[in-house]
Amino acid sequence: MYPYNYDDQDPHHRQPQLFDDTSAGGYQYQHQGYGGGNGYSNSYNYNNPQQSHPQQSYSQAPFQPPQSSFQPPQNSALGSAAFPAAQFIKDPFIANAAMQYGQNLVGQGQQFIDQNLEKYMSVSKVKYYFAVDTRYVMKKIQLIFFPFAHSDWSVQFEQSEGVQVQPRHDVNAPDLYIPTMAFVTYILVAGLSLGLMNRFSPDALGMQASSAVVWLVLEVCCVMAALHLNSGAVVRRPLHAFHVLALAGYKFPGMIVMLAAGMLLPGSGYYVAQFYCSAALALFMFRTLRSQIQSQPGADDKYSSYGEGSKRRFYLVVFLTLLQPLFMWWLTRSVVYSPPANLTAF
Amino acid sequence: MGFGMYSLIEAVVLTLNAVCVLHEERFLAKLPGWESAPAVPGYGEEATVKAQLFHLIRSIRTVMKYPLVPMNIFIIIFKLLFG
Repeated sequence: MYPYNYDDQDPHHRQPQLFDDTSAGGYQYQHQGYGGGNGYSNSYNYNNPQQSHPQQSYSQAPFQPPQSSFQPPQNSALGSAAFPAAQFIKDPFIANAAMQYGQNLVGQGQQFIDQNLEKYMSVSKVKYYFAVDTRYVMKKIQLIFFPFAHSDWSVQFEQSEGVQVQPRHDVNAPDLYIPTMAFVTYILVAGLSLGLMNRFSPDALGMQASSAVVWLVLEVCCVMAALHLNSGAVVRRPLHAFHVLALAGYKFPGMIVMLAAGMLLPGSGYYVAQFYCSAALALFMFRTLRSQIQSQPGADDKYSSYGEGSKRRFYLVVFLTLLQPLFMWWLTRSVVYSPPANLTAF
Repeated sequence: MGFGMYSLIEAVVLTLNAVCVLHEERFLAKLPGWESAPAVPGYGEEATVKAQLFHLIRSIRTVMKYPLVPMNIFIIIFKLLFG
């Protein structure tokens, strides 16, 4: 990234940010100067990784003329090397016009993508699960591996709207960032483990990835079906499919540790790690699910007075808790590292 | 394990087929409690697991009866061509 200091022009853009946190909503998109500095087609390239975070602020943000003074030196360095028509770009007026046109195009494209994506997947709901920060991630990973010391597992709700607080403000809220990253890391670690056993091939990597995805989707479907059958026609708001997906994805950090321990201490390391990770994850799941399922808004009406509904919920929680170690074992057993036989013949 | 997305899709389509081919008169009407799972849920407390299950079966049959035909045709052609 360009280490620009914009403080002489725009007091908001004081320091370069490595990660632009657009999930807070309404955040002024910082890279306009960068995109403007390269004018033409590069403004499409840097926008692609950000497509999962639609930036409504992009179309609202005003074009900032003072930054145009940065462009001609760069464009002359780039343009003369690559394009024969670079002399046009050196002209600051045409550079301005090109940049404005490029920005308009990107804004329109962004709107088009937003509208179409909203039909298939509610993007604002997904953004909620990615609204995390470093402190939350550290605490959550610590909770996954060591849930014994944590005492308050209830999820906080926002006072005004009744929706769940964003994960960055509440450690107990589930997120999708950790499962996604842990999933990718798990695929890589599985590839490493396979490679150490001379069983690696690129198809094996893809097969591991799709296997894990399929089992995850199956698990989410079964959980949603069980929840639907057990709690009546009303689907409680926090038990959205993404919520269940987030909770199901929390087994991936444990699986990574299990595979890594299997590689570092061949033979017994895998089993020790499996035991510990399963126990920790089971406790984590049990407490999280208990606070989320048993404190449902509907749990206070006629169900709990008869005790039957809450008992069924309890069994559901226990079932989900026991399902996690089973999945963790099932998914890793084919890739766990076992030392090759010829080494032990020494 | 050699699971891919296609296996999942195939499993889902086969399960939906199984739910949709249940015979209405010979089998489903004879299940106790089948008539009391109406097509449109009123907000009376249909909270038992059996009622929910019947409601689920009825809604799967209603929704998926027509889309399943092209999905099955597609999978048949796919299997004929690619094995």
